[in-house]
Amino acid sequence: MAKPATHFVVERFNWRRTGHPPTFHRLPGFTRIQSFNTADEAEAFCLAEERKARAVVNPFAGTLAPPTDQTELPEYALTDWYMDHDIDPPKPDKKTGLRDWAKWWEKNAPTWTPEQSERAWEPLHRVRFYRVTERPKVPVGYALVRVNWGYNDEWYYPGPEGGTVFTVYRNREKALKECKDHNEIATDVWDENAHEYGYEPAGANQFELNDRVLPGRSPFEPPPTPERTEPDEDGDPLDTFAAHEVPFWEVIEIELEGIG
Amino acid sequence: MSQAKKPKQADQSAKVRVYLVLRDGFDANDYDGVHYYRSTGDDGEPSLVPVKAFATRKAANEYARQLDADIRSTFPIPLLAEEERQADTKPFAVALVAKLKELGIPPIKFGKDEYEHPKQFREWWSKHAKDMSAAQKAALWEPFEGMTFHRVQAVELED
Repeated sequence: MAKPATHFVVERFNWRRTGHPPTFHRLPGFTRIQSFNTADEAEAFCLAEERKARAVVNPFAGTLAPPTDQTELPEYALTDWYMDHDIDPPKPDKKTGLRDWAKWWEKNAPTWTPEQSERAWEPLHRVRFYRVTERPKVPVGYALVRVNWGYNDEWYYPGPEGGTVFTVYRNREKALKECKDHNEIATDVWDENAHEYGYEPAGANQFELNDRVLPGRSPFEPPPTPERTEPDEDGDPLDTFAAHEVPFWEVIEIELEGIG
Repeated sequence: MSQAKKPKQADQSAKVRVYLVLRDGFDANDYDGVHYYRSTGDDGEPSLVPVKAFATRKAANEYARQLDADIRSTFPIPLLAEEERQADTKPFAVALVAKLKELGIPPIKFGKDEYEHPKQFREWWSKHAKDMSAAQKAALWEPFEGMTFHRVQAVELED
């Protein structure tokens, strides 16, 4: 029996930028990014994307038990490894004897040469941003998802990811058209609501995106900024968006397995 | 009166029922030690992420089970022992203390206030994770085996 045709799918683990200043967390799940016909192409793409992530992420921040969460090396071996590679590891706190790995990275990483940065990441095998998997080629579908927005008494905020799934389409164009139509209606309705009930002066931005990764974007890119740039009533820069700048509906691509 | 069946409408014939595996949407909170929680909208509706669709419910359930197992083998349990659903209950603390004893791992000293237990679990983990084997970490999921991260929903697949 002939082996089914396969391809190489690059997936991004579910990393999310949170807070100000940002910390990156890996949450459960992954996102299908792109597929390639050869492993070499997929691995090259994966490596390039991995480097972009490494440039902005502090691997020790936002984890419970560094450096155990980052490497299989015991702490003493990790510090030895760094010293052997001309990188000064963090010193233990005089009182507690504990090393603050996240603070050490935050302070020192910006001063490292590109070669030092590459070496600094080398032993951190447990911190990965992308993966490549060889899989049978299957048809894909397009799920139409309504983003679930909430209100915090001052502005609206979206669920961190996904939402409520309504339909799955085989046809991408049809899914995108439905999504666009739903978004246009939602924008009108929400814009009206924001002007009528919103906390900000009428016309000001009412929608915070928080850490939601918008379709086609990466959490390692700079976050989106609102079109409106004038300060709010307190003179602070606006970090909220107008209704037409945020998604109320999205299309998410999924594999259809065993479905002809 | 004629009981003849209505002809099937064209748009209905194009629809097929499929079984969608969905992952619960999570968010991170750095307060009192990083932890993850399921996010819901104002109406309590969960945010779900579609992952893959299957022709049968059985295949979808099996895939959801595999993905849950992957999460258990990847993430430290205190990150996901969310307060509202699992950790803020006596059985959580009792079962965990018993499991630690069985595994010969240093105990957690849980306080009287149950709402503090998840935080105490995180603090304990920060101190002891480095001394635990992968098998011990996996065994600590046992008191949480009812915790799942994926679900299956039947949806219409349209052309």
